[in-house]
Amino acid sequence: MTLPASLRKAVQDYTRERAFHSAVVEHWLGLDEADARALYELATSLRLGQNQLRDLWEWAEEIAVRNGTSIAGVLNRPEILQARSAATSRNTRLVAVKRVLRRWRFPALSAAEARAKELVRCAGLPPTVRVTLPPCLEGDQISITCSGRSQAELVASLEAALQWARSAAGKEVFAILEGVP
Amino acid sequence: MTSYRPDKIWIERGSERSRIAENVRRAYQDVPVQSYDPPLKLEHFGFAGGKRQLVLMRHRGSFLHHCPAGTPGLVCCNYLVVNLGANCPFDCSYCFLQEYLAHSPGLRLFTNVEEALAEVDDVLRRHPNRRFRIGTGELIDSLALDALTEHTRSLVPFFAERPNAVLELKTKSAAVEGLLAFAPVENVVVAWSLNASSVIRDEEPGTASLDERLAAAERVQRAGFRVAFHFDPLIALPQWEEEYAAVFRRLVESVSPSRVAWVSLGHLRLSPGLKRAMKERSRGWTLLTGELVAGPDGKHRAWRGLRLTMYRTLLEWLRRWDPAIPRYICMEPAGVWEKTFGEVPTDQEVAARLVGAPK
Repeated sequence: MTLPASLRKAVQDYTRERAFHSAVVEHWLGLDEADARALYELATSLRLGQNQLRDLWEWAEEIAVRNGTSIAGVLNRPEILQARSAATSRNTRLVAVKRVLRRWRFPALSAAEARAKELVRCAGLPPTVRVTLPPCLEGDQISITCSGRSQAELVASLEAALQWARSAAGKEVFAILEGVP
Repeated sequence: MTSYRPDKIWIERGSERSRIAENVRRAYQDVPVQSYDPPLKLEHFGFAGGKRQLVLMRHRGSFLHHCPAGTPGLVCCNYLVVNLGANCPFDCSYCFLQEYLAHSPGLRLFTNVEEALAEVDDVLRRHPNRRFRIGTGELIDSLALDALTEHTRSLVPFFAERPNAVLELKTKSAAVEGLLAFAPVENVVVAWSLNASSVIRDEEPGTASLDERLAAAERVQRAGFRVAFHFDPLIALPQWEEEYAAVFRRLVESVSPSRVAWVSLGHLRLSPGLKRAMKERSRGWTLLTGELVAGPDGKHRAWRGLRLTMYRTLLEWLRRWDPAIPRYICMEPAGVWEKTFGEVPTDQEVAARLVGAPK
């Protein structure tokens, strides 16, 4: 199946300008029209480089296979269209698109991460206390950073952190890391 | 199980009179045979096509290696592998050989098996107080082609005389006839890779079905050999608990736990290169679309919480079956061992539980 000449040229121009690898271009041009166009619109709206596009493309393709749809079917969903066209900076839009795709790509992991973050957020910890979870929950270590501009502020930070660590919420976050439902 | 049949047989000059070459010619009388002088270039056949190019050749270099699963940061079982061939008649969708042998296709059977045994013998003699666990199933199924290779005919008597090593023959086949010609040997263990029936059907084409594997295990155990099982790769299927429970029920019905040498569990792990190879071959999409995340070793696995849940569940079934069966998890970091077993053994301790401690 060949792409319409205008789309083909547009993809070639875009990828030439950004020095994409020929194998990536070839793969792109080999897609069906709807998928190739959806990727082109995503790439141009977020001014994606090769690696950025490949990451999103890979996720979109894997979501599409799992859900029995197409790359276009994934990338043209309202959440993606909204995220990529929001009236904000390109970086913020890119982060938003990635966040939506990641949530679809890793639904159970994303739900576990969201629950863990919620358990931290609901504690209402002061801004001087920062709880860090392992990336992708791939680890068993939670870090808490406490800071203070005075002895009193530092003590308050530490006490808040300790209280959270001892709470049911703190216990539940560790349970999430251990895969305990 | 589907029988292996090559499109062409390549025999390196000098190997024509080897036992393997004679067996191969007898088994495939209508398959073209060509002698060659190395190097033999088979890249144009690709990975799958290369499997049907049967190459009989001398292996140059070392046969015995440490299992590559022994990666820094992961708890390891100190397994050694002796490679008597490279590539496999099966073509499992997740097989690491798709990446590892991508540039050297062809199903290679080594004709200088006696040199491999001499190398193993040398190591075992130099360390008489150590206990070794050695497998032949890393780069090729240990038994699937035994009718051609007659490896069991060489290996079983060899290991019978060397009590400081345990040989593991690891297979997804039911090809146990050659082995059953021998009286049982305590330090020869036959191990089957087990998986959910849907995984065997969809991802392990040509291999023996679950029932065939377990029937073979039952025969081998009844003949007096010890058996072992590897739930590897575990796949986080949507209905994983039901599917693996069904496997476990069949296992319990088929073999006695008292003669099970060990059971291992290991989650699917895909390197970036293997993922790429699978996608290029359009294989294993169900596996590729699972919730796999990159670990510290760069390999993608199911996310940790899910792995832990699955390990705990299967280990509990195993404990209820027989708590005395030695068990381990493969290619996991210390933290996963700790949460699964409540301890982090050293590599030596893991090995000792499987084959005994050094004297």
